[in-house]
Amino acid sequence: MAIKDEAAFAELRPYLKMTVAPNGVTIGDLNFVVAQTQWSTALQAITVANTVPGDVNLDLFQSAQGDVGQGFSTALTRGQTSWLDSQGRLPANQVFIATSCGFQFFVREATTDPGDPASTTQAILEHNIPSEDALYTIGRNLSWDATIGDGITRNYGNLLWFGGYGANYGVTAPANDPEFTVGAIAGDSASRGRHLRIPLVFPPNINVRIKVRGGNSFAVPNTASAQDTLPVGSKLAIRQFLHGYLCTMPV
Amino acid sequence: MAHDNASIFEELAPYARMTVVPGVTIGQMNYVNQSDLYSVGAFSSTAAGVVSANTEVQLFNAALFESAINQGFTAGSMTLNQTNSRFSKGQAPANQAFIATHAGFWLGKRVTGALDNTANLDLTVAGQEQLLTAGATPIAINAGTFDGVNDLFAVSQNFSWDLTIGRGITRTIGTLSEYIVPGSYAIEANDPVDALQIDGATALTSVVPVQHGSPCSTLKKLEVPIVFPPLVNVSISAKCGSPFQLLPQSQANVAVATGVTVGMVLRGYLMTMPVG
Repeated sequence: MAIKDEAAFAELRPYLKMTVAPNGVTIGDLNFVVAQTQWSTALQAITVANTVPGDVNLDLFQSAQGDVGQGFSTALTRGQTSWLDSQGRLPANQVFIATSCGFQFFVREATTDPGDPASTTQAILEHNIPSEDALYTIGRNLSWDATIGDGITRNYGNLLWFGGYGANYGVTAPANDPEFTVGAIAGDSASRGRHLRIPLVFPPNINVRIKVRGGNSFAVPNTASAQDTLPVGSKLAIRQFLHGYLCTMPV
Repeated sequence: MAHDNASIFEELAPYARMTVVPGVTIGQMNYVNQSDLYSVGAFSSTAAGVVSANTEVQLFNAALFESAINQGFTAGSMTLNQTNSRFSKGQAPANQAFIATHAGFWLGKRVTGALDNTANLDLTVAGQEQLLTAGATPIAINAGTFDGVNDLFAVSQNFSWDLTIGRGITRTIGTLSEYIVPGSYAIEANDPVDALQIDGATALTSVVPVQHGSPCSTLKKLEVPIVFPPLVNVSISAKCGSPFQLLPQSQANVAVATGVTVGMVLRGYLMTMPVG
């Protein structure tokens, strides 16, 4: 069923005439397959405690399930990405139209290699950033950009402004101890990402490059406790969620 | 009452032409009830808290009063505590369909006082469902300690859910973290000295229960409804990829496997097929 013929896709209605392929195929011409979320995770190594190095440059949606990349030392699984096609490039007959976007950042650490998702002897502990200050600092200092094919690279803004798909919710003691915290997430627990005013389209056979970038090195507030926010040897994980519609080209 | 004639079904109007079975669309079906359909499955971590690679939990597979083993429990039958679905293997009867417009997942654990999950996940043994909660003295990881919030975070971020209708393609819809539920919460540990702190140094007596969503959360609307057509198996499962670690939970700081429960609720409309 073509997108333009179905009332169910009201969200896409303003973009029906948007071209997705050089042969003039528009969003309205595409056939709906599934409404879903795609996610991809990249890791930034931490070599100095509580410090994110300068010139952060992380790829998202470049490594597919089964590939090694994006800071991981072994093959990615569905725990790290839902993406099945390398280099942000969909097959010749598929299009993904992302209508909302969210980011979540957290810490991966283990006594062996936090970049190895397949480790079974020492599984990876994933935990959210343990203080709101730290979450704010990381989200404010990193931004993301996208490049479709050989087009212009566009910076979309700070990660903090794209509240991720939140999950956990806990209410804890009124904090008269500044160290007391149970962790923070980007966005409210009910966050459903941020609506993209213009959808981000992954056209068929075209590389889409999404990157998370940073400028100067910056320190992440610590809680002055025995546990560092970003311990040496840990990895800062950045996960992007793109919620949208997977479609196929018209026949 | 065919619901395309009734304005109260405005929510379904955009999908009125969606085919349920050959020749019958959503708009032609007769309304029966607006209800929540829920189903609970379970999985175990190891004593070290590791959730194994490719752990999978089936949902809406076992109907009410059927064996709970298919959904990760070790023994017993599904009761109203676990599901209200009467669709065996996710298959609606010949004259019914369920159209889900919203979805959510909740997470918890089941405990019976036993130290192993053979008993914890045995529905014939009286048990208690609890929020994911760190023990009073969590086991240190890299000289630090973390809490139940992070267990919830890890499970909801690492597990994603699949949907298969009939013999169609299996589609991965999203991570559990996106599909929150209105949850309960608790305020405990008013004395920070006794509270669970991230350095763990003075974590003595308190726990921090958490739930998957705030008390006021609403279920997430599905862009396209999930339809349980008549006489077609609908398979829903939650699955993780690589292994990851939870905090073994024991008040006595003993390594104990955790029996994690995963519940899914689908909010929607029960319909019957048009007559004639």
